[in-house]
Amino acid sequence: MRQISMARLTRMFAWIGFSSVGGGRSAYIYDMLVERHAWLTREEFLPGYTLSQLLPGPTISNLSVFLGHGLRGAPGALIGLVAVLLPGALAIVVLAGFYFNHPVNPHVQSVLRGMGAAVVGFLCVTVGLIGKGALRARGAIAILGLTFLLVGILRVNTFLVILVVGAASLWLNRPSSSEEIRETIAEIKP
Amino acid sequence: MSDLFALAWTFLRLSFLAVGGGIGVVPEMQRQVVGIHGWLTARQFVDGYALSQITPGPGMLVTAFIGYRVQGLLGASVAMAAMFLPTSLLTWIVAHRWERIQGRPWPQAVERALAPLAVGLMAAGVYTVGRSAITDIPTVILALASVIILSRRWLPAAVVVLAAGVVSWFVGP
Repeated sequence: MRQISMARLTRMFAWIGFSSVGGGRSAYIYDMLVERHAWLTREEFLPGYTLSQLLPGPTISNLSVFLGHGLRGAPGALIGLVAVLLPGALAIVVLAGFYFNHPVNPHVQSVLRGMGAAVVGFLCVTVGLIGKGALRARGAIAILGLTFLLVGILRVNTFLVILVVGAASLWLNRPSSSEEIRETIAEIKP
Repeated sequence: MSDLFALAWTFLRLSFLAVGGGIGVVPEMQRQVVGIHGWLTARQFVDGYALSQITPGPGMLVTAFIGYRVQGLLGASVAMAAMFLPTSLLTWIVAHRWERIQGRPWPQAVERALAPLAVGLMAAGVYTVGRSAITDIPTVILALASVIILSRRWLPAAVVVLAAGVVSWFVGP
């Protein structure tokens, strides 16, 4: 990951927090940090994304913490979290104040429908782009397909799928013994 | 005061149940907030969730909406802190450890192994969202238009998504 100044990191995450409308928010983070600004590579983004899903908590806040930490250490993690939350939090509080004081039906359903549809398109494009970086692993296509089948179509618990399919993928991609020997030698001779 | 504790405790537990993203805990949140505590009516919950989807930032900011109903700004802050801070701290600890071991063979193998899994999860997410979002011809057209515009990078994603919302507003239900 590139070294990024604190000011730029703050602006970037605040912009993501401000502009990530309509669901699929991790895609906005990917789009800005990887595709548009190249602060990190697809390969660097992906482990953070999977860990953010595997760990409890909303994915976008976990991902902001993970990537903020990678880019700028602990202060980066904190700023990443706060900056990504604050714009939306302010908006929702203002709207809540309005909503509870003037009990009107917010005619948001048709707006939501349109935004939801566009977000699906956005997610398709994003997954296509990310997929290019993900297919270098051994058995990548089988792992990808199996995960999609289990979580998307059969609706098996995500956590369980990550554990089981993750273990299988890890076994397929385990370090070769020569890599481990080199590591051991490196540890003996610092 | 007891309401604030109840808010904090409710959202703290929900945040730790949210594995694989926040959307999975929405039904349980509704059960807690509407059924058990009676903080909101079912209608208010649905409206609040819809508002949190149009406003930017995580969908789980619906917690701020609920907290606001219970105890104003203080309630919103407490609810948000309970939802986001403890799990973020956990992620930070993992990120910190991860960084220190990253270059070694096993962590590298983990990175390689997790990449196709992550894409599979994303694809599954798209499928799940798509099944509920793409329901008729206008939504199909909007989704296709968004694919074309975004894959050619004509406009930023936020502009496309907002524009689709506006179009849909005019087309009506």
